[in-house]
Amino acid sequence: VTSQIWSAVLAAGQEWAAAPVPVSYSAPWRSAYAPRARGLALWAQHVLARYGTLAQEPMLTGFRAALIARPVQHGELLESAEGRAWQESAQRARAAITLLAAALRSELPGMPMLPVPHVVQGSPWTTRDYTLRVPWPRELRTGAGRTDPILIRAAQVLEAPVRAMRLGVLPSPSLAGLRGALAAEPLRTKAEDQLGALSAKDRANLSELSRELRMRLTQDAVTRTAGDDPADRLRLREQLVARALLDERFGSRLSAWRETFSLLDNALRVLQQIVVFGGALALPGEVREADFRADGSGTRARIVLNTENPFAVRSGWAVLVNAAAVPDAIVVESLSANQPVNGEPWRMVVEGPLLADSGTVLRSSAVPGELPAPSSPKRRSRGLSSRTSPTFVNSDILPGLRKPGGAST
Amino acid sequence: VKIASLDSRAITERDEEEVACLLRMLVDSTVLAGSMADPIHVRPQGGYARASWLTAGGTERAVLVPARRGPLNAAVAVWGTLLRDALRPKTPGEFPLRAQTAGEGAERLVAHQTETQHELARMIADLIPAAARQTVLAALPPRGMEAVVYEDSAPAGADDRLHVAYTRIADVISAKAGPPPESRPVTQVRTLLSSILGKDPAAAAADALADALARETDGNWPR
Repeated sequence: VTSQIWSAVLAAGQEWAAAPVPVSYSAPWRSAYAPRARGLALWAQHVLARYGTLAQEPMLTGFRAALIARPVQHGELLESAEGRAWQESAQRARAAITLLAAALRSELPGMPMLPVPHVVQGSPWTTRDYTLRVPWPRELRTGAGRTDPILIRAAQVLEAPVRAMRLGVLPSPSLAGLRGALAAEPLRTKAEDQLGALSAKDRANLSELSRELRMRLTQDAVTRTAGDDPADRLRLREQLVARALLDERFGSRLSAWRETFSLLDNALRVLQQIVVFGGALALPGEVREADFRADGSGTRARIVLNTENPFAVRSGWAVLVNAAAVPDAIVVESLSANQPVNGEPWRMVVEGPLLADSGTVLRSSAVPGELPAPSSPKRRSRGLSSRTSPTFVNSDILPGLRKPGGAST
Repeated sequence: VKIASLDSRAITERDEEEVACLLRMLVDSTVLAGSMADPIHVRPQGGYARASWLTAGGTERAVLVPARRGPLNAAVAVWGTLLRDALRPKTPGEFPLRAQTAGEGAERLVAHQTETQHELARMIADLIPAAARQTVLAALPPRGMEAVVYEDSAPAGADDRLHVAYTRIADVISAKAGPPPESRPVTQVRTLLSSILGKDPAAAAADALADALARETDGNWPR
């Protein structure tokens, strides 16, 4: 991984952050922990405290929270004129990140025909059930070199810049630059090489794996194993795909493809953090211990940190700690915190993949993680009950959105 | 582990041999000794010391500790890393099919607990230094379980209706289907059956061992 990709993520994220729709969408999230949060910011504060997992993909948090977290304190504000306007911005934010993700994923080698586990119907990226992933619906899957219209639409939805030409529009230089940076990644080149080396038998095996996985991911099959609880159903879908990714038919042939997809997902998360919060989260405090282990071509880290306030972090976010200990950002996949009885600072443990070569770029725009504690330290994200089981239809990204005029650079 | 927190000698590259020697004393009677393919290397990094080694699988592993916290602390940090690696599931968990009746749930609970105890015994024999095994065994909850699996539809409409009331006892693992016990002694635990069966026995054993180690050390180690 090169630092160019993080520079491209930062440029695209900052361009979107300045657009009218994201400014409106981000406002409650950015002031959720302000000392005297009011209005929707107060609702957002309660959402982050009680449904922290929804914050994993920040540009989707608003849409998902508006569906699930209405009963949360101050949820009635969503019905006010201000709340309804904000909900439209949340829908647009969701549409934009879904479109951007689809465009960049479509540039991956072999798309849209390669039968990888991620695109199997019922996977966490394609399910119509509850999911925490940025969806990738079938109608937004295309091939490399055909993603301009999707990128343009993504920007227009947010009223973000596009590049106006005499005969039409093109994606802004920032979005085109992001796509180019991903295409130039050595990891992507390796994925392309692996794809080129597949034999006819390898491809047949991949198709067979895909078919097997599809059978296990049908609504009925998932219900038989996991019941109706949305969180259990998602856990099962994630587990089935994770096992398929380790299957010899995929894992031994297309490891670089899997890593490129993960890199892209992490890049999209960082971009969303920049759009919604301004940047990756910089956590002050002493690093007590860190350990590192190789994971494919990347590195996973576990960092133990002394901190005065562990409440600022959510799973899925990119976090920066003391650069002397860990120069690069870590994407938090798991975190825990406890307070020693002797009055010492909180001990927080975060674990996840390191974003190689991201440190210098992401530190330039990092936002401080010194947020005041919003709630009781024992508070945890609540599970979702089957009574609040919404259907997340991934195919309704575009209808219902008023088409705004795209600003031009 | 507790003594390590008192080691405030600054660590430098010259302490490499001492870190390696201390670590050998901690892992030599366990399978952890075979998980390192070469000796520890200690290098300064900012205000930290970075201890690194090659795993038996040939990949690099590294631990970073504040340089002011001494060689014993570094050795214990590496030991904790080796333990966590050994306790970490090797493959993604498998979602267990739900028990449909209390009777089926009771049978599966007995099988699950029996396998968990086997895993736990194996982990202790493999991972814990001989001199510490009795202490760790004493820190674990009793091996046995006396359980009643029952149906409870509250809250109304909930998908997960099988619950379990259990008490830890010395050795025997038993479970039966039946109405919820009327008495609620303080040693009795009531929970959803799926909260026990949903965790792979190896993962449940790893959690139990990590909890016991934490209780006997600083409340957190090696987590």
